[in-house]
Amino acid sequence: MACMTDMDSARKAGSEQDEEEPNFDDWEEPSSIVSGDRTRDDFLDVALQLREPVTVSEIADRADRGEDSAREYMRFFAELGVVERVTERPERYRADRDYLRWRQVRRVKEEHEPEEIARLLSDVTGRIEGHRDEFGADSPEEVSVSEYAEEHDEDVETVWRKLSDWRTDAERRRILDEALKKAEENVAVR
Amino acid sequence: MTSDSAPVDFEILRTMYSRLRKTERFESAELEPKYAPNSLVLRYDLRYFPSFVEEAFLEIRWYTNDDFNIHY
Repeated sequence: MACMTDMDSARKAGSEQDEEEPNFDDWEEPSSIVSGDRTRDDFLDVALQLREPVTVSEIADRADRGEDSAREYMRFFAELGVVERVTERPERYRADRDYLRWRQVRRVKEEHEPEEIARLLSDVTGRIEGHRDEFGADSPEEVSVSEYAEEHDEDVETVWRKLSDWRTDAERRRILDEALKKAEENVAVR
Repeated sequence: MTSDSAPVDFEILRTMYSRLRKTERFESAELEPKYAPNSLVLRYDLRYFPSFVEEAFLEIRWYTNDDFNIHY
C-alpha cells in the first residue's frame, strides 16, 4: 500500500531512477468529477441522500444549482415517489425509503440471474451466522459497542466496524431475499 | 464516530462509483469487491507514481449516519 504522507520523500528518493514527471494536467478538476453532466443528475444524487427532511434552499446548495430548479425537481421527484414532501412551509423533502429499497432490489434483479442471487443470499446468510456466533447475540442491535469492547478487551473502532458489517449484511440479506422472490415470480409468470 | 454502529450506505457508494470510475486518476474502480464487500476500492493509475510504488489505492466505506472511513 502506498502511503500518501510518504510520497514527498519517496518522490525525492526515487527521482534519480525515475523517468519523467508525470503529466498531472491530464487529471480533471475535482469539481468536474463530483458534479454530473446534467442538472437532473445532480438533483437526483442529492435527492437519494436526503435522510432527514431538508429545505429547498439547502438542496439547491448541495446540488450547486439554483433554488427555483431545486424546487421544480423536488416537486417532480415527489410525484415519482423518489422523495416525499415532509412539510409545506418551509418546503422540505426527504428521500422515500420505500423507493430506495425498491431501487436496490431492482438493481440486484437486473444485474444477477436468480441462481446467482440465491448464491449471494447463502453467502450473506453464512456471514450473518458468523456474526451471531462471534457476538453471541441474535442481532447487532442487542450489542453495545462500548460494553462489548471493554468486556472483550477489543478496540472500540474494531467492534464498531464489525457491528456495522453485521448491520450491512442484514440489510443486504433483506434486499437479496426480496430480489430473489421477485425474480422467481417473474420466472413463474413467463 | 457515534456510539451506535450504522450499516454501509450502498446508494452513496454507488454514486461515488459511477462518478469516480470515469476519472483519469484511477485505473480501476471496484464496487463491493469480494475481498472488501462493504467498500468502494479505487486503484490509482501507477503512471502517476514513482516507479517503486507498486500499488496505490483508496478504500472507501460510507455509513448511513454519514460517518465514513477512507483507507489509503
